[in-house]
Amino acid sequence: MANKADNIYLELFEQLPIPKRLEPENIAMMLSEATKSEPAASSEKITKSKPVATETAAEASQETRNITKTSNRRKTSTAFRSIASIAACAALAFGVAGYMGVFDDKLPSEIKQGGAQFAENYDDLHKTFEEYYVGDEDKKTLDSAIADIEHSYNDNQNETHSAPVKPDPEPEKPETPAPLVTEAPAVTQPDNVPDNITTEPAAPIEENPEVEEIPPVEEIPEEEEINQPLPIPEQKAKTVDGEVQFGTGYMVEQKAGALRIFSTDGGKVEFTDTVAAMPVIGVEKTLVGFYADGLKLTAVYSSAVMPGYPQDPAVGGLLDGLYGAQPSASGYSVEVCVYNVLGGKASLETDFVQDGSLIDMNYQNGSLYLVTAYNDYRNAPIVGVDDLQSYVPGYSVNGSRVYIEPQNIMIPDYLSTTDYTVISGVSVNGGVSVQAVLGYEGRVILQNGAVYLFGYNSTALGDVTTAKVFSLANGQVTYAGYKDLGGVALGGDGISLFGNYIAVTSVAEAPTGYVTTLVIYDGTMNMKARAQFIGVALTNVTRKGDRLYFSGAGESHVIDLTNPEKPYEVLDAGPEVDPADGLVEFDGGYVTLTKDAQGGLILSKLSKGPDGSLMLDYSTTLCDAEGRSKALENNGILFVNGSTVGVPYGFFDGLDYTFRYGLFRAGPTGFEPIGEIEAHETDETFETGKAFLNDGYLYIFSEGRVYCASTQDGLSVTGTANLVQSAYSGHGM
Amino acid sequence: MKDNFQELVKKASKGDSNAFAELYSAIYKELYYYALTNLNSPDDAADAVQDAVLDAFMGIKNLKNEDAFKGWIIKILTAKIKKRQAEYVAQRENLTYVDAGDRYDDDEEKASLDIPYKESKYEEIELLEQLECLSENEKLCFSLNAIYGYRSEEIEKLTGINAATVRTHLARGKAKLRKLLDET
Repeated sequence: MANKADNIYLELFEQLPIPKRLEPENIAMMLSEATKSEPAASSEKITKSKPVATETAAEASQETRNITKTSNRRKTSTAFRSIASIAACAALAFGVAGYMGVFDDKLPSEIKQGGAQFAENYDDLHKTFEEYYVGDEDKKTLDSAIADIEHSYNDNQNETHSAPVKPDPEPEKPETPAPLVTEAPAVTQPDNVPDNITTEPAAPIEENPEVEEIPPVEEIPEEEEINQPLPIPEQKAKTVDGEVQFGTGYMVEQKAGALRIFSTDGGKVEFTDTVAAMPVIGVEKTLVGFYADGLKLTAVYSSAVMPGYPQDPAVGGLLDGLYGAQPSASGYSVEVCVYNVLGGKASLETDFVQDGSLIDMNYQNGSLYLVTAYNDYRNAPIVGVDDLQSYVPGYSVNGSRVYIEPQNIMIPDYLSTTDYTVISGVSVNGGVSVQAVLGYEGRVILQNGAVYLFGYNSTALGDVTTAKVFSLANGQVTYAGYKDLGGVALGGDGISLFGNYIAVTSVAEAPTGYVTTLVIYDGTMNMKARAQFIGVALTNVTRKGDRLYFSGAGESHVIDLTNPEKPYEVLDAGPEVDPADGLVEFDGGYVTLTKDAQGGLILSKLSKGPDGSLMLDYSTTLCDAEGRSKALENNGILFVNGSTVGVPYGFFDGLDYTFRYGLFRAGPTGFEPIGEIEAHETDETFETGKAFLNDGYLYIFSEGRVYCASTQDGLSVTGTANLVQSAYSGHGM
Repeated sequence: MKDNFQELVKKASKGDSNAFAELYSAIYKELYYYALTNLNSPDDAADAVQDAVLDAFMGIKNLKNEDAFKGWIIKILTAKIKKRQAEYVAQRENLTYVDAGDRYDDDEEKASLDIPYKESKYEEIELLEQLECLSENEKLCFSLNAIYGYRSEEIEKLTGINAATVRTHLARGKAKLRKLLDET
């Protein structure tokens, strides 16, 4: 051992008083009492030591008070947690009673009124643009604010650490370490932690002695800074090819960017119509989502003007009459088409086109809501107040184009950018509502009943993230208010949605150092839970499933948000890869289709063992050799409904193909067949694939044919719709 | 001395609390300092030491190597410390479960976001206060090294942390403290 006497810290420790109850005499007394009562009892059952008789009464009472204080604190926190749990249950029960909008009157709201004003006229708006460009150039966004924090922290860390860190010179020389893994120490499960908090064994820690350096903020030359548009996040389509939805008397399948409509009636199926975006010369339209709701079908397209095509609105106007409404001058827009579907035929009722790039959308109770970003004005300098095209977003309804009214354009108290965020509501009954907010920072959360726009704000209390909240109901978009959150929200998953809760992670500077804060808000911006990491700037946050992974400054933490109102830190994050990833859930376990060495198809039921590994419960062989199935490449094609599974498969018998669809249920000893359909074809386009259940009928799709099969008393075909001519005419099942 | 030590261990393993207390008396201050460095308050540190002592007394008859008494009781105390630290995480002082009926105006929320003032557990001895800038593992390793003079392999046995990682924690911890020392 090293000579600890040289250690100044030990000398300093020795200046600290030792609690009386730890004095050897008191310990002896405590141990003596322990042997008198229950020698094998756990330490928690034994009372703490009492002061010796020579101690003063005041000191004795002080010790007692101290111990009591600790116990009371723990009891209080447990009670507090319970209250919150009851309240949460009450809120949940309340919400289940019926459709509860986010802004139901019965739920309290933390959203404040004001925080912005709407433009009185276009002149108002124009002056704001001029002021932004000519006036204050030192505008901050969330990203630039957090970059400042990272940069500042990086400077601080660079003074503390040199890379690599050099250990103290000791007789024992450390080796240069590779990535290190520690073994988990013995697990000690806390006894007095409530059931909703779990403590898991400490995770093996991977550490790299190389200090993680935060790259410095890239400097943008001043003269270019103002004109840098904020990047529009890549939009993700809400629906994909092969998706099927059911309306009243029809079903819709997305296929190759268009929508195929099949009438469905009493077990019959017939291909009746195709719906696609109206073609516009020089404009590329992409189907990004559709919603079948009763007799209404809503289709959403993202449009972009192809390079080289005219952007002059005059030219566009000329083309309008021939080819339908044109997108905005710069060419990004979102088109919403609402159809009425009767007898399997779709007729267009509303055609709404919104300027800007799609950020997000959702469909609620008969209305579609869009959030778009508009910064197209950057393509041309602002000439004057009358040059609305250059700084005001617009939209069109059934070919009639208008600019957003100034009273529907919000100018926030703090303007960080002059890009717009536009929120549009389109009701299937024809109503339209559009609101725009000047200032877009790319942080938007859209959920049922509300949309939240996050941006930077500079307040008397410091830099904060501010949330502007709009309520969405009955196709109407209404400004509800704002909420200033603490600190500047991080990028990436720094703002994310967990169910109906919004998790915001921010980093702020406190007198004693940086503080990383995670706050969970409900839909009305009530803070439901908060966690803080003091003394560290965890500037990276990534979401995986129900967990947030934080890292920075050589530390990493994981918070589980399965119950967002009761987040907890996961000490053992577990293996990176779940062996069940990608498997289809079925009957309390998983189902998978595989091929054996002979080419036979095996349907298997798996479950997780106590150690997390997968175990085979039972299996069945669908065919012995040379089997084929679309579900082999993608188990997601399997149809699963509770404990029923449907499997498409087939084989070539030397003459033609046999394509089957088998329906099985999970039985006590294995898969029990419910029924099977079979077709013989020479064309692979008739290979069965995905299936969808509606009103007791299973609709089984292949490229060449759609089957409608009744699931009562087995599986029997009641109708078919041929999409491609079969080589076998009259060959049915 | 060694004979006396082994004699005391034998007596303690037969339930002699005074013998155990005599063994304890040689190391109790260091046990307390170690717990205090790694826990939030003197009360918590004293609780952890008492719990460890009770467990050690109950289990001393299972101690195979009498010479390992000190390391063995430190290992028990380390487990108590980690258990309490896990409770801190679960009950993290700034992890609040807000009743739906609570309200926060700006000032209250700002106040709750401030770092709460804690009474100094180090009697405001500045150099010891600086230990609070270390991470949990850095404090664990540093305190075993500073108080007991343990080296990385010994710390590995006591804490379960890989020896190379221990060296990293020690190096980082000392670098942080050195920097703070230079600043003051």
